[in-house]
Amino acid sequence: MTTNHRPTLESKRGKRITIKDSISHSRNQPQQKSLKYRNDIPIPNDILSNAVKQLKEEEEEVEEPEKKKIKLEETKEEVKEESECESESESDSEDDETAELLAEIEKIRNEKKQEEDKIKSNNPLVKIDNKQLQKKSWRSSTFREKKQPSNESPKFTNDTLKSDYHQKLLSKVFK
Amino acid sequence: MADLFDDLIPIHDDTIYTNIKQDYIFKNYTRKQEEVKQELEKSQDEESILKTSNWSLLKTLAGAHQGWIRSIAIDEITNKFFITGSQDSTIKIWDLNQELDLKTTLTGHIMGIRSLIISKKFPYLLSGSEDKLIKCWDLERTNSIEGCQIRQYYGHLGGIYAMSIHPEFDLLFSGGKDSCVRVWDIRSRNEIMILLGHRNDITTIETDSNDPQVITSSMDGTIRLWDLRQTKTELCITQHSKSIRSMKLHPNERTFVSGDSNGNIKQWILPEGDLLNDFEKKNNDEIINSLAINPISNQLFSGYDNGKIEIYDYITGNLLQSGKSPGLPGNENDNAIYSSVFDMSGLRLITGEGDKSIKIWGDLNNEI
Repeated sequence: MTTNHRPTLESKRGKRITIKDSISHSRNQPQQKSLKYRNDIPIPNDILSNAVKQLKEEEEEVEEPEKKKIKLEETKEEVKEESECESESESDSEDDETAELLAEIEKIRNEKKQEEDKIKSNNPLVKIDNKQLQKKSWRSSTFREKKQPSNESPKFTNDTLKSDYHQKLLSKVFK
Repeated sequence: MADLFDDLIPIHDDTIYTNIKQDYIFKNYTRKQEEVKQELEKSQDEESILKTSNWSLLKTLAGAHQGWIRSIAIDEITNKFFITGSQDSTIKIWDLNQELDLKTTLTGHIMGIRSLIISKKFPYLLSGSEDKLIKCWDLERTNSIEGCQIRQYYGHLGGIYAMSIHPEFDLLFSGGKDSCVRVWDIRSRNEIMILLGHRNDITTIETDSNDPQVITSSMDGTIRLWDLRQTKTELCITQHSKSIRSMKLHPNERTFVSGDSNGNIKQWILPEGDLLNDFEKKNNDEIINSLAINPISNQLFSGYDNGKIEIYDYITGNLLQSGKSPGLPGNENDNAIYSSVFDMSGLRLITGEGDKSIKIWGDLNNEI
């Protein structure tokens, strides 16, 4: 008797069965469920022009200390001229004014120094190691005999058992 | 009628250069072809006097990777770092400062990395590899112990050679060895569309927010413009006689260029996909590996498989400069240029090469 009258077994349906189980591939498991947005997005039209602007601004910032220097020198000269004229002409009250101006110049000078120090401390290239700069006196150095250049050619080997160190050790222990 | 049209076109004061191609579109109805031609010639004369280029090698990062550097991406938003992917299956993130510090190395792929994208919307890096996987990395967590890989897009039947993110929708397009373009939902990792039609490996995918939204180039020598609504090819361009390894969409114009393995560079205009220009060419049979467009000075860079480097004027198609990349000692004959990108200020060019080095180039004429 055939089994045709019997209901189709699960196994006969073969590929069409969708197996219901809890097993799933690790890549199908949820990874990151939400999208994170950037917080540094500028106004879209200005992206290109901003890049150039920024670069130019940075350049100007580097140049500024020099400009300030020139300005400072100019003001100094002016003050000198004025003070000379005024000293020749008359009066103590004007001397006070020149003193104030000089104090101001001192202030600007200090600020400038601080700025320069800041720039120097920020840039790793400008940082100078003081220990390297300090020269030792010749008195503190010790005399040593100059090493004679060895005649042996340097041997390179990948095999540690054939290295000079190991060979020496062997000769020490086993002879 | 013509006056009316002129009024309708908005005037942008801060356009970077006079865009002849846009004029070509807008004025095409009213003006005669000859007039346009004359104008083009005039502008060519002026520009040939003004524009010269003097790109030269500034820096070489020797031994940056252990293998060929097949892909470079620059962060277009901050312009502060760039990312390289190599045949040694690692991704490296570099600072774009004077020292070019290595920030981190990302490992996880098991074969060479062929395509990298830094998203402009999300802090994510997407990498497509020859191991058939696309991985999504969270750049804000690159130093965390558990790693920064947050998503994986599974389903390609071959290596992935090209990817692109849609500028408006959160869609990722990828294509490669299996010669079909798959469209993914970035968030859910589902494959939502498949674009079939190419007969060989897909080499580049470009996306645009206007129709045609997807443009692909392939090793079968064709460029296809796709209609995303019907998931069908809108136009198949067959004017290249050899395989196309590189194609580039212009960031500001609606034009794109493609370079084939004969060394021909052709310029196309969207949305119709008409041929606009054939770039000046001197030698045959040089394989173009990589194209890059300078968004500021509007120059086109083409890097060849034999280490040759050329700079073209994008508008006229004139060759401005030609040279060769110096191979590093030990790899003298292996100096093919595999990837290239301009930084957003247009002052630096970064190339990834077959001698396992990254090279930084600068235009000496435009130094600030």
